[in-house]
Amino acid sequence: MKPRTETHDLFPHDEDLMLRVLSGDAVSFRQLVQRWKQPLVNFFYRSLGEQESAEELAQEVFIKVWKAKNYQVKAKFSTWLYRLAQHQLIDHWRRMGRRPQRFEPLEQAFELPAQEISPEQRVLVAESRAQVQAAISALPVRQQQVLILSKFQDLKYSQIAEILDCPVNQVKTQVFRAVQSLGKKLKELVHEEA
Amino acid sequence: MKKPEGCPSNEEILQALAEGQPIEWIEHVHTCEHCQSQPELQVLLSSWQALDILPEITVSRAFDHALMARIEQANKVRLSWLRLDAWFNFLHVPALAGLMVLFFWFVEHKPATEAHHWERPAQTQSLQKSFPVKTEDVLNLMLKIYRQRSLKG
Repeated sequence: MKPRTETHDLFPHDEDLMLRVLSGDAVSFRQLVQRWKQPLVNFFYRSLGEQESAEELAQEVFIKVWKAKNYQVKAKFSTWLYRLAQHQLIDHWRRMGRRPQRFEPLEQAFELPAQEISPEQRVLVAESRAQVQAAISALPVRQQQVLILSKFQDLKYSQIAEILDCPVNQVKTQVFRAVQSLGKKLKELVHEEA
Repeated sequence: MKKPEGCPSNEEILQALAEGQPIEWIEHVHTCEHCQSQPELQVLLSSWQALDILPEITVSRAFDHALMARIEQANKVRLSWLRLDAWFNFLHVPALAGLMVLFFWFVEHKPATEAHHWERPAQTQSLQKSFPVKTEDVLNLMLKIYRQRSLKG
């Protein structure tokens, strides 16, 4: 999931917008919010499983963006933003004392177009989604994070390494292990049902 | 079946899928007989694909409004530090610190009392002058006492 970042003059780069935000440009800030709110809320949702908390944390990150004074155009804006988000998430887990063990099924996430599939298929898809979500949330934190950043946030391994402050090879291994564990977990679930 | 030399590792295939490149590797997975016969790789690929089933959630409509309200609130808190009346609530802190400084200054520099001018009595001075006693004198004295005791038996 990538936000729109056209290079056209009408759609300036995130980095340019951020530089304007530093000088207090509220319009640029709103543009950044519009571009990034969806990916950021989804990032938190995948990690927390609650839309309300996900939106609150995303707002906290945007407040930090608005107040930021130490932004430098060294890395991509997205890397910097997800780094802020990652820190926010760790703070949240620290405050809560633990990370959530189970995802609450969100009605919105299970909405499916009524005309396309039958009610039985609807239930099956909803169940599959719940199982995949449960399998993700059962992964160790680091694996879960690299998987979310890689699969759902469409970030490159080098960016993830920068966000999580670790070598690229570690990201490579963690993604591999995460998908491997996910595969085993899903296989078990399929066997249980059979 | 032995792994051909041109086949990338499973980790590399996963990276290619995640980053969308190199395309050759993605194409390779679809065409290579060896890769297609690898159960581990097939599980990895189907697990990766299974993640697509999860939908994206839509941000609520109230998000922007709530965000702007929180920023406004944060700005208010920040600006309140610049207002003079906010500082009156904390006046007791510098006032107390000032009082403590004054108190310690007074204790340190207060006018000298009789106690400050106390002098050692003359007797003590004379006693002090008699010291230190020479070691030889002490030894002689001890020797005398010892002899007297030995004479008495």
